[in-house]
Parts: sequence; structure tokens; C-alpha cells
Amino acid sequence: MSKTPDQEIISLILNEATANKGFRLLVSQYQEQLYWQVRKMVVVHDDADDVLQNVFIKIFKGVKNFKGDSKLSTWMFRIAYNESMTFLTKKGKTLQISSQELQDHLTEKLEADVYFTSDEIELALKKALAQLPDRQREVFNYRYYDDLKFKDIATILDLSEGAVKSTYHIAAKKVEQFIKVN
Amino acid sequence: MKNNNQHTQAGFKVPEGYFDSLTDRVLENTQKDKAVEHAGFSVPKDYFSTLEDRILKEVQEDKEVKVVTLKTSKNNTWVYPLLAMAAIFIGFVTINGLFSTDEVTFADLNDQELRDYIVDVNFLQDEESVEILYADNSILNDTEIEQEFTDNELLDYLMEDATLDQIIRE
Repeated sequence: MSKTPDQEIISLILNEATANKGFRLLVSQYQEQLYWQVRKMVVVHDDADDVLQNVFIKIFKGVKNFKGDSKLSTWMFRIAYNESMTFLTKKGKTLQISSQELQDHLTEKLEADVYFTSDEIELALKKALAQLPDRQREVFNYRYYDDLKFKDIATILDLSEGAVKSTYHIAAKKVEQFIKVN
Repeated sequence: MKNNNQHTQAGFKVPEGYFDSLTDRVLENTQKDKAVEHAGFSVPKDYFSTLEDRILKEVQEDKEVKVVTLKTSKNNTWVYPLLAMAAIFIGFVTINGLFSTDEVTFADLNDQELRDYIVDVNFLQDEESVEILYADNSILNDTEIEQEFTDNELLDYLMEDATLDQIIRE
């Protein structure tokens, strides 16, 4: 299926008569990208599914006010990032554990997760990522897996481009070191 | 083609060229399955094919929940007397207050009742009363003594009422 330009999707959504069609297009075009972004943060499939529903509800409510200061995808990634972080904070509070302990807990569960590959290298990488501070892990995920530009990552995380570059550099070094040692 | 013929002979039929394109389609599907793996994660079968409909349903439901409509009926004339009564009640409460504000003031007390009370109650055992007597002089200031009396009359009165005199001395 050919990709519909973002501007066309927004125009369809802004017109009441074509709003449903526009939103359907938006969902079909971005659901997978957003799902994987959320999944990499919350790890568990069922949690990712719940968060994704909320993300699209937020997008649906806010898209009419989208001013086009950034790319539509970047704007949606930012919503997905915020929703995922809110979810993780709540989950940490429910389990009464810190952010770091939560990452360890999620990584431990990965080994038994039927929706995770049995690939040892991927598992080792996930364990390495779990050791990183939240910010470094997110920057690494966006760059390494999603191949996003530093500029877009900076917009999503509300950081300067320079800060994103140095954060990615530090994160990559730590991951490399962790995998060598372990 | 041989396979096609064999299936036709066994009573089954397949679309023309079915086996010729089968390899390509199988490989295509394998690639599709591969595409739903990302960063080591995978999703349940058919997850993405149903996701769009589920999200749109969820968004629609969320939109509908926010709409709060008041039910209206043509046979709702009984509501108006109730509304009128409620309005009258609210008006009454606003003007007069919900509860009576009548308060007993110091001026309402009979002299004899006051004297009996002072004699009966052991003021010095009651911290609250002591506080009022010695700390809150506003009671005395606010009390209007309507009757004029001389110092001698006051002295005579105090001499006669030894109990009261004793209380004040203590």
C-alpha cells in the first residue's frame, strides 16, 4: 500500500466529512511504528497494546490542534514516549520498585516471554539496555532500532541535538562494555 | 502441471496456475511474518491486521463516553411543581438561613439565675471559666449596665453577698 502524505491525512481529519477516513489512514499508516516504539519501552506485549490505545486516543483528540511545527510522525512519537513513561512510572509505583529495578524485572521476564525471540544476542542487548539510565536507553532505542535522525530524537525527548548525540555515544559505549564483560 | 492434473483426477480442483505461483506466495508470507518481528520482540498472530479496527472502536467509544445528554420527556409536567417548591425552599433558606440564628445573650439572663449559677459552679476548678473571667474582659466591656448605682450601694451589695465576695477574692 502506498504511503499517503501526512499533510493529506491531516486535511482529511480536519474536514468533518472525511475525518473518519483520515483517522483510519493515520492508524493504518503509523500503528506498527508506534507499536514498536511503545513495545521497546514497556517490553510486555499486553502493556504495549494498552498504551497504544491511549496513544491513539490522545492523537485523535490532539491532531486537530497539530500546528505542523514538527513532522507528524515526530509529534506522535512524542505522545507515545510520554504515554509509555507515564505507564512505566505507574507500574513502578504499583510494584513499589524503582525505575532501575523495574527494568531489571522486565528483562528477567523477557526470557520466558513467548513473544520474545530466543536469540541470545538480542537478550544480551536487552540486559545491557536495562542497565542504562532511562534517557540513555531511549536515545539508544530511537537511534539503533528506529534509525531516527538525532534532530528528531531531540524533538521527541525535548533535548538539544548535541545532548542527544553525546547521550547516544555514552550509551553505545556502555552497551558495548556490558556485552564484552558479560 | 502434473500436480494440477493429479488433484483434478482425485476429484479436487485448484485454480489454474495455482502451483506455479505457490512458491512466490509462500516466500512472500514468510517475509510478512518476519516483518512483525522487531528488536527481538514479536506479536501474536494477526495482531496488526485487527489492531486498526480495535483502535478505531476504542477511540469512538472514548468519544461517545464524553457526551452527557439530559433525558427529556414530553410527559415531564410533574417536574415543574417540584422545581417551584425547590426554588421557594432555596429562597427561604437564603433569606432566613437554614437554622434559626436566635442566640441567648447575656442580657437575657435573670439576675437571680446568674447569681445561682455563680454560686453553684466552682469556677476555679474549671479552667475554661477561669480563662473567661481573667483573660476575656470583652464580656464585661460588652455588658451594658442600665441601672446607675453608687459606690456605697455596690459596697453594701458585696458585703451582703459573702459568697460572691469570697469568689472574687479568691
